[in-house]
Amino acid sequence: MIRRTALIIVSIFTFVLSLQMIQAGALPTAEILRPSNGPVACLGLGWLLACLVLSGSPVAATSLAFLASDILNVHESFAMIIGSRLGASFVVLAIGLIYQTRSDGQGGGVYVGVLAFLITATVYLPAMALGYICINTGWLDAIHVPGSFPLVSVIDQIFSPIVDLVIAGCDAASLPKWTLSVAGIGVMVFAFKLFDLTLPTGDPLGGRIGQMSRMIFRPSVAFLVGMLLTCITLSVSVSLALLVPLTARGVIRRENLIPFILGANITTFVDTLIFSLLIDHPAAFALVLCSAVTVSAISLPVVFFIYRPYERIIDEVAGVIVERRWRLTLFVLALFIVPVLLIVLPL
Amino acid sequence: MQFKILVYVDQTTAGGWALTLAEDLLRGVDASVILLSVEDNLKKDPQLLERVAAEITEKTGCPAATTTRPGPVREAILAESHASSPAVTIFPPAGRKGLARVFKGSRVKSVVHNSPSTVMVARKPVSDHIGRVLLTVSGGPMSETTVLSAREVSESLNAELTVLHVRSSVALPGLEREASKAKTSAAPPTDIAELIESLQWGREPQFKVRDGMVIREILQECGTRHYDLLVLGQHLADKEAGGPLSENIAELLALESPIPVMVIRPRRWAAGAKIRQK
Repeated sequence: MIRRTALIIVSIFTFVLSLQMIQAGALPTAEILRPSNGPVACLGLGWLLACLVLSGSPVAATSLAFLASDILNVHESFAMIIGSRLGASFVVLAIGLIYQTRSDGQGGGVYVGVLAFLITATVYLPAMALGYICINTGWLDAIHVPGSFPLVSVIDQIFSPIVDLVIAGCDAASLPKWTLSVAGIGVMVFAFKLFDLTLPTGDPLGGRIGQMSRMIFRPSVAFLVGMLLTCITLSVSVSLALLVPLTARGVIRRENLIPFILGANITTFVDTLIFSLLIDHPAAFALVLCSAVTVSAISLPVVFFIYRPYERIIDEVAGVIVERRWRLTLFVLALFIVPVLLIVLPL
Repeated sequence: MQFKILVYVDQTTAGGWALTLAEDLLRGVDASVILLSVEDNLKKDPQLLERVAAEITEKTGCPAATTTRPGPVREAILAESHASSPAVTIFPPAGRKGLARVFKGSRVKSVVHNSPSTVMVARKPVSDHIGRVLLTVSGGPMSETTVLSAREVSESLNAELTVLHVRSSVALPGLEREASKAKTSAAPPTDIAELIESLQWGREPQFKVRDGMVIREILQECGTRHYDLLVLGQHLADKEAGGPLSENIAELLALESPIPVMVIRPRRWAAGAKIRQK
């Protein structure tokens, strides 16, 4: 029991470290992209950058920094924040693909990734429209937060020194920054190996794992769990990525995934909200708060009023995509091509 | 202890479905029937219970008792179920949808959740006689009692039994040969196959396995219209499993199934049931 607990902690630690390494290696490369004009282009930019760095939070933070520097206006910054969340769901898909290279024929990991994107898109795009209404009607002008607050991120506190050490090592060896991302993928594979050692396959005939593998939580309960876990990890990538091996091994039923992801998509804004308090722009905090509120305004009716039809549609579409390799390949390509088109096409 | 079937009677079309189901069951078991209605129904049709009792006795040869309780209907059904301890309680849904169900509640969910006996929710019959039964099993620790009870049901109805198991797994993409097979495969999970074999079932049931979300897959299978009755277990020990945190799958299926549903509480069914000799 103690050994298993220690192994779980080490595997989660290693996994989060791998994500931090991948992000640290990719961000300098992504920053050479300059923001384009127009909200649609900024939506594409945020999306693409988040895909490249495998995280939405740094891209959302970058968007706020651009807002403070007057590189982007309020509409464009808002669009880039929304785009960052679309791209962030790609990290779950990427992790699912990596996990599956070692799997025994079960595709649960990729399914989680496709699900994460579909849910994010069906919630965030309507939320974006709602957000624009709020911005254009001037509701944001009423929200002001005086002063600044200390930025607290448990993940940053623990992992930044380690990642900085690795970066220093790369610089000393004259290695380019992207090698950090490659090393991070290797560390991630190792983390999955450790994680697999701790996880039994869901045994439907008995035991606590067997019970959990049969339990279907109420959508509202799974929704709250998703919110809570992402509140703690401050990263939707981490909380959703943990679902990948758990779903693939049958420990968590896929009925519980959709409301979990819906909840995670709301509290993913917590770290960006905290960061916005450090930004020297009157609209920064209100912009992020608007994002969180509009996403909640779309998610809550879905969970409480139209959950079954929503679940059916999303599950069907995800199942169709995952069922054939060529469909999945097209889907992954589209995740990169669509944001590029949004950036380059004059919309 | 005599085997009793409680049937709620009213003037609605759904009420007629409940009587049809009761007649089908009564032809297969030695049992008596209790016909229940509420006072509001008898105000509109004072002869309702006597007429229905005479029809049932004539068609099935089973003695029929009648009883009346004050409404609302769900409370009357539950009160009578607790008082007379039937093996099976058969009732029609109230037919509420949308906001009406939100405000007034669901008769099906309430009775399925609270009844101490096996319950049967009447839906529009698929055919004249229950000849094809679909049993769903999770492979969990209570599956054995559910399968045993379902066997008794299908034998008393002289019906074919199909066992359905839904897996939550997702197949890897790229396994085109596997993916191109029919969504339902014929090979049951080893544990369920071993369970059926250990029961030394004289007439082997057909197996089906589906992959996907359990409620949706079961409802889709029911929607193929190949079955007359859906049987599932909601065991007393599991009724509150997970408490307010988890979904009660039996209640949801009873509510949404397009075909008649029997939610088994196996202890009640097994106690006192005697199959009629044909």
